[in-house]
Amino acid sequence: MSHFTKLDKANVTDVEAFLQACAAMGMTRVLRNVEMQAWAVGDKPVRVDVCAHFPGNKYGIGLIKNARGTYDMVSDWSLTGSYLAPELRGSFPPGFPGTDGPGNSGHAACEAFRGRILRDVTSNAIVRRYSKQGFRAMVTEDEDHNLNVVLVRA
Amino acid sequence: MIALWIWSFGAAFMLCIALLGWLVRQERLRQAFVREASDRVEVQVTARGGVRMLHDDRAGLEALGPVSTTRASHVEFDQRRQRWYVQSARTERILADDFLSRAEALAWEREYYSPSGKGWAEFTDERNEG
Repeated sequence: MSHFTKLDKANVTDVEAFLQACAAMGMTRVLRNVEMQAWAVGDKPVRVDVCAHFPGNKYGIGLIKNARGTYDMVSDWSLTGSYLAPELRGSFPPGFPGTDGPGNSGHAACEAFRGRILRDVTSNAIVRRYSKQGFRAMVTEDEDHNLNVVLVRA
Repeated sequence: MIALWIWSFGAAFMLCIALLGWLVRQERLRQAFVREASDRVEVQVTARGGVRMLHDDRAGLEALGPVSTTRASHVEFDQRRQRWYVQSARTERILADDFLSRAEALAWEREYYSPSGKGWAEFTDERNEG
């Protein structure tokens, strides 16, 4: 009597969930409505609604509200990734900035970083939604660091 | 002779008590399983921010993007056997039967289609042996 539900790719809709995910990666400095250097979207700084930086430098991830009412993430994924703590970088596939293997700063590695952030933002958004309804929810990661499982209990 | 009768009666009585205790314990375990499974939701978030789960309105996935939903199973009552059963909507195979209550069948189904359950592979590429 049940249905199975799939969502191919979640949008970023919950800013707090985004900030939680960034904080877990060390990007704890939060700025709102500022110009941000984001080489991935051109040489000029872009205005973002909110961004989370590493405390000691200007690298981080920003959110820009789009016409659909959700947020687009912008960053220099390669440079930002290179400032992640080594234990976090180790959980990414080979080729990620700072890890062993070919293709440092390559497109695939940057996509892996972006995907990881989106996965954590989505997980946090689901946890926050359940928590607001009085449920206990927590996120666990599989051994291969490929999936998150959100466990919810009444 | 009388002693044998008393001994037999005592043994039968003790056996009945033990059986009753076992039945009560099984019923409690069954109820605990139903309660545990119906109180639990598991959501899988994939490497690129995709989400997969047995549908639960409370997750509010629609707010995160366009979702696709398909029927997973049917939970029906077998009139002849007077038991509830779970049938896969995709393969039409009877997955489990012999449930005394609908709640028990729904709890079993929730477990079966969880990320750690055998039914997860019906809707994903993953194979679970557990």
